[in-house]
Order: sequence, then C-alpha cells, then structure tokens
Amino acid sequence: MKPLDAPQRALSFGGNPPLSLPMRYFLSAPMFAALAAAFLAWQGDAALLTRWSPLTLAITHLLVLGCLSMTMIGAMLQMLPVVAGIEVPRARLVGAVVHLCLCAGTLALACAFWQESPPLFRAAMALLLAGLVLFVGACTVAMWQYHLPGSGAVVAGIRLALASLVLTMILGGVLASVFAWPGLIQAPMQRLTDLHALWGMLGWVGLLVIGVAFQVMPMFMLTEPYPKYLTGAYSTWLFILLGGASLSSGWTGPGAALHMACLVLLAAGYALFGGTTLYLLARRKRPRADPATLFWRTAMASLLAATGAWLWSAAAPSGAAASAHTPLAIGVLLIVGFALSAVSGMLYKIVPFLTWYHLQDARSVSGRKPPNINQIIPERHAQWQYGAHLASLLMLLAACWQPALVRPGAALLCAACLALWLNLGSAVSRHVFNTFPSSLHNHE
Amino acid sequence: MNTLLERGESARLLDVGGLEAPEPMVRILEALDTLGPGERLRVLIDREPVPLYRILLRNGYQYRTALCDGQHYEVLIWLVPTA
Repeated sequence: MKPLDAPQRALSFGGNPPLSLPMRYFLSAPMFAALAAAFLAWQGDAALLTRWSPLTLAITHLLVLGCLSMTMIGAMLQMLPVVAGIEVPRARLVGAVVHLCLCAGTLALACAFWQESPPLFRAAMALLLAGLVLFVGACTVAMWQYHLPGSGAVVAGIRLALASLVLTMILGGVLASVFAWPGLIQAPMQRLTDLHALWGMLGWVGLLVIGVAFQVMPMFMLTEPYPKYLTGAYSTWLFILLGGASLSSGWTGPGAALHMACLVLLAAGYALFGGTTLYLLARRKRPRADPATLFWRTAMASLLAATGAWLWSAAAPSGAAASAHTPLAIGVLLIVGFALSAVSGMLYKIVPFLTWYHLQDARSVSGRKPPNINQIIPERHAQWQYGAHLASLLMLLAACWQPALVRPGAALLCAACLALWLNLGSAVSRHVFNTFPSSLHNHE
Repeated sequence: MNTLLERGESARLLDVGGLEAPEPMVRILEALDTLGPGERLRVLIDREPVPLYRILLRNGYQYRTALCDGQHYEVLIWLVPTA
C-alpha cells in the first residue's frame, strides 16, 4: 500500500483563481464589520434610535456593503469556476478593481451619511456603481458560457441574486442622487428606501445565502440534501414575490392587501428555509456542533425570529409592536443575526477549504501533504469567537429597548469581528505564506 | 446498483458517502494515484462532485455519472490511453 505521505500524481487543478483573489475579500469583510461596530460603540445610542438616522445608515452600509456584499462577491468569483466550471473573464483584474471600488466606495458612502456631504455621496456613487456594474457585467458574461452539469441549481440561485443586486443598486443610486444633488431630484424616499432594503436583504443577500446553502450544507455540514420542493422553483417564487411586493407597494385598497399578501408569503417562504435548515442540521448523522454549525443555527434562528417579529408588528399596527424599536430589532436580527452569522459560518468552512485546495494544488511543487482541513483553523479559537458574536447579538437586540447596552454590545461585536479576522488571517498566513512565500500570487 | 457498468465489466469500488469535504476528493485522488493501466474506479458519493470533473478532464481522465436512488451518485472514472 502506498504511504500516505508519498508525492501524489501531479493532478492539475488549474484554471481556478489565485488564492489572493477571494482572500482579499474575505479578510476585508471582518474589518468593515469591526469598523461598523467600533463606530456604533463610539456614537452610542444616538446611532440606534431609529432606522432613518444618518449614523444608523452609515453603520448599516458599512455592514451590508463592506462586510456582507464583500464576502458574497469574493465567494462568487471563487465559486463560479470551482463549482460550476465557469470562467469569469479577466478574473484577476476584475477581482482587484471591484475590491478597490467596493472598499473605497463603502468608506465614502459611510462618511457621506455621517457628514451629510453631497460631494462624498457623488464620489461614493461613482465608485460603488463602477465596481458593482463591472462585477455584475463580468458575471453575466461568464454565465452565458457552458456550465458543468450538476451545478444548475447553484447557477440559477446566483442569477436571481445578481438580478436582485442590480435592482438594489438602481434603487440605491436613485436614493443617493437625492442626497448628492439636494433639491434637484424629488423621490418618494420612504417607499424607495423600503424597496431598496427589501431587494438588498431578501433578494441579493437572502437568495444567495439560500442558493449557497443548497450546495454547502450537504457538502460541509453533512446534512441530507434539501428537499426537492426547496431546490426546485422555490427561489424563483421568492423572486416573483419580491417583484409583486415591489410593484404593489404604495397601492391602496385591494392593492394594499395584495402587497401585504406578498410580504406575508415572503416571510413564510424565508421561515420555511430557516426551519428546514434547522431540521436538516438536527437530523444529520454526525450532529457535532462545530463553530460553523453553531453560526448556521444562530443564523436560521435569527431569520425565524425576524420573520416572527415582522409578522407580529404587521398584525398589530398600533401599540408596542409598531414603535421604532421593532424595525431596529428586525434589522439587527437580519443583518447581524442572520446574514453576519451565515457569512461567518461559511467563512469558517470556505477559508480552510480554499487553503487546503491551494496546498493540495501546490503539492507537486512543495512535495508536502496538506494538513487535515480541521486543523487549519484551531476549533477552540473559532468557538471563542462564536461565543463573543452570540453575546454581542443578544446585547444589541436588548439595546434596541435598553440604550445603555448599545456601547458594550457594539464593543463586543467589534472584538468578535477582529477575532474572526485574526482566525482567518492567521490560518492563511501560517499555512500558505510560511510554506510558499510567493505562491499566494503566482500559483494559478 | 451497478448502473454504469456493462455486463461483465469490473471496476475498483470506492465508497466516499458520509464524508465531509474535502475528504471525498482526497480519497478519490489517492485512489486514482494507484489505478493500474486499464483499471477503472467506481465511486459512490452523496453529491455530484462537480469540482472533481475539471480536475479529471484536465488530467486526461474520462468519467460517467449516474444518479442511483434519486439522491446519491455513482461516478465511473478511467484514464484515456494516450496515442
């Protein structure tokens, strides 16, 4: 029998993006989340009074653009070639330019909200629209190509998420124009803001998380595959419901009932995904609660709690549920509880996998067997980081009603995000930089 | 279960069901490493191994995939002899 350490036949993995391409996104994302949390800790409860405060909007965009979209774009540029065999044209250049535009544009937008500065809004619009149009354009060109059989469900989910991103961008662009050229453009701000948030959170973030979960949960968490009623036309139905809710927004009479029906069906659809994922995680063969599993359970529990809180506030339009606290709590549940937890859980699987894949690919050069994937990030470190993340989520939720908790909750979230960055960054630097100082960029 | 093998054909069996990524790929690559001339590998796996296909094609292997029981996959892999 062949010894395990023997050099393996030099199978070329070729054609994948260099490791530096997705890693620049994955290592920037926790820093933006830490920056958002630090800003919240600095500004205190003034930034968590209402969803309309400029400070709240600055923090929200640091999180959704700088952290969530950052991770999702990096993951997509990496996933398309590996999972679907799709080449993104000029991936290195596109990846570098989109990353730069997203970093600079997000910082400019956050400063624009904070300082209420029209020139900064104009700069942010130029950078973000340039970066996102380049990203969507490159992905669209790529997805016209042949993709490997077996990747259809993932590619379909990515198409819907990208279409949602385009709509979010257009709505965001119109809203930013109102601030960039004050007095020049009149727009129904509240309605457009609601639609912008709807397409951003439930379309771009939600549909991509769902599409990726169909692939990642059975592969990394060893769950049974998702049932056919979810992997089939389910995502398309969610997209159609988002369209229905958008077109009927602002209608009165029976139109308002149609709008509400679309929103209730959307909430039920996302709750079905959250419930099914929790069920699959509970029913798997080896139910060991590793950090990624804990993050995904938290994400799904937060998604269920957010849909429950929204239904409660929709059913009781007056009284406690209709106060400014509930929309803020739903925002905390969706952004920090659902999306940031899901992204963190995914990063704890994707980063070790990519590191391992890179080391395996470089094995013909190094002659070294890659370490076991579970040793790439020490589990104890990830468990601690999860504990800090969960505690900060609970504190920020309580802070929606108890302002004294805003600063400690935000400081804890900042620490959790820095710890995530440290866990991911040290894994890559220890295993890749130290082994092949030049391979991060050169090996392709 | 031998959906990919014709009558009288044989192949080395490798069951990588129930393993967490990337263990299935590690075991398949190790098995391919020891595949004799003309020998074929029959892999039983929980998911369609899409990332593996690229590696196989780039390295001169051919494969055939079949869905066995509605959920699990069987992949037959062989090296194409170079002329």
